[in-house]
Amino acid sequence: MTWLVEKNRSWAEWAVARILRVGPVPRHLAVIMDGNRRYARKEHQDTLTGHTRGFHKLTEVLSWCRDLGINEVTAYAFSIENFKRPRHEVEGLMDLAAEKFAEVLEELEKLAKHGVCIRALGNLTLLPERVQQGVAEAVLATKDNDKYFINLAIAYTSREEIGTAMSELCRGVSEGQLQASDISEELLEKCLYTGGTRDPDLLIRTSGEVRLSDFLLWQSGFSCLFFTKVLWPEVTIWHLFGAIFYYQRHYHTLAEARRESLNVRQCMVEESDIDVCHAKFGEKVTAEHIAAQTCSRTERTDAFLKELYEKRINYLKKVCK
Amino acid sequence: MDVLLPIFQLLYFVAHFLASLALSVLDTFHLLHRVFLQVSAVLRGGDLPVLRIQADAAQLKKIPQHLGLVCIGKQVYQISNLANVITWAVGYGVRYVSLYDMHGALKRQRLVILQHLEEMCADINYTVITHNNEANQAKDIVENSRSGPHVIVNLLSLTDGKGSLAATARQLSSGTSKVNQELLESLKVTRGQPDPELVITIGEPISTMGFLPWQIRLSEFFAVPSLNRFEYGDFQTILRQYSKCEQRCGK
Repeated sequence: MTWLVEKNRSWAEWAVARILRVGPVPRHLAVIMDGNRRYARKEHQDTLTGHTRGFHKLTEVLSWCRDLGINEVTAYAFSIENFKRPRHEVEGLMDLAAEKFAEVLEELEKLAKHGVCIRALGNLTLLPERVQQGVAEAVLATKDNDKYFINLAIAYTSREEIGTAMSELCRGVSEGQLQASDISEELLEKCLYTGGTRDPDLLIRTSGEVRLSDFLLWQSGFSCLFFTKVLWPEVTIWHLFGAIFYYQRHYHTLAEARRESLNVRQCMVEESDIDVCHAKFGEKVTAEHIAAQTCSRTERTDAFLKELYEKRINYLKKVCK
Repeated sequence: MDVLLPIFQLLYFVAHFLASLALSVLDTFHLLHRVFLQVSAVLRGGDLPVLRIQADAAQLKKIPQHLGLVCIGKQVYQISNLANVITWAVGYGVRYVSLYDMHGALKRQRLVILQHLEEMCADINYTVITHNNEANQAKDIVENSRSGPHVIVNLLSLTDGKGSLAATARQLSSGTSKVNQELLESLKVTRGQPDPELVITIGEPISTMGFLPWQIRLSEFFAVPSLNRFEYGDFQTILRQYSKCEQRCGK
């Protein structure tokens, strides 16, 4: 099995894909791959076969996305809560992950040719060492590819992510890199595992459950949610077409809401800059003071984020050895 | 130059046009159905008796404690309908209600909401909390009787979501305590309240629109297409579906 499935489309699939590409197509798709175990039970197979089928389906979905022009996919592979599952299932899932990340290394050339970058979101330190190493090697080896992005949320929950980002900010302030007034929505967002990349436009959850289960709570604020009854291993390209059609019908509402939220965020940052200047210079604040404050704030946050990014890369490099 | 492109463009517009057409036909039928129901209700006389709500509620296995209502787009002008939904929810046993729209229109309509709540049900005490950016809250209490159940209504907007988390981060950064889930839980906007187990999005599409990202971890999402078509029957169906949802919590 491989990460890059290449299959020929039937003429009907090809035509529908072409028609949908006329309108706005989501650039970032998030999926909650639910229903692997129910599928296995239905087919009278063991749980792990279900999970393996689930992974195959993911690679298939990635190939559909490439055809449709969706260049980023985030998938919920393993939640921190999933460690509570029976031991043999967790072990099996870990073996599966280690195996699949090892396969990345065998396919590096092909991945580089297609420009596929694989990233991992989550608290990797919770994983067994062999999996950590596999993840780190795969992520480092593909990090310079820049056409298609696959984000795997592994040992991830959104609350843990937000908590970790806040601790990073607190560390930054206590070490003097940041000032408390520098902390804004945008900075917090950039400290998340997703690091301020594009928010998902469309989030699909399969198997009929209608909740987010601690997945991308922050990032999915203005995503179109699409819940479908089909089990994940049984998803077909037509379900994806349906989701995109639904997204297109409501594209403008969401785009407008997102724009407005960014404006509000910008206003709050500007107000906070002015407040800081008032506290420093009293009544004699001039436009230059404010501009200087904005400038120094941006410098500090940029330096902090650069260091945070390097810290994460260094962690991966350390795990590799 | 792609020769086929104009054909695909045409097909794209035809497909979306047909979908819109089909939906508006369905809307018309829905409207007729509603008029029919209203007429028959008038003929039979009387509106929804409280007893019926209680009987419906008794059939359900579980009932949410906290209900979130997310208004998407321009749904906020019909406060009276919103007030009706709150009455049904309270009749079912909901004790916390969060009303959300991203622009903060509901916060500005506070007085109107208060007035409607006052007029509605005689034996329920409401506390309406309007959350503001700077950690202070405005509380309005509508007391109808001392013995009745107590319901908390939150009025929320965009800044109570991500903005409030950023404010929490700022607040924590000047302290020395270590960040953990319990601490964050105690600093959330709706502190002291359970997280919403059920969120109904009013309007299209289904989206959280920035509604309380921290609190919606395990919320079940249901949707109704618009506020003026939100009937008691729809509400009943949603609560029935909710009571069938099983949460595995990762297991």
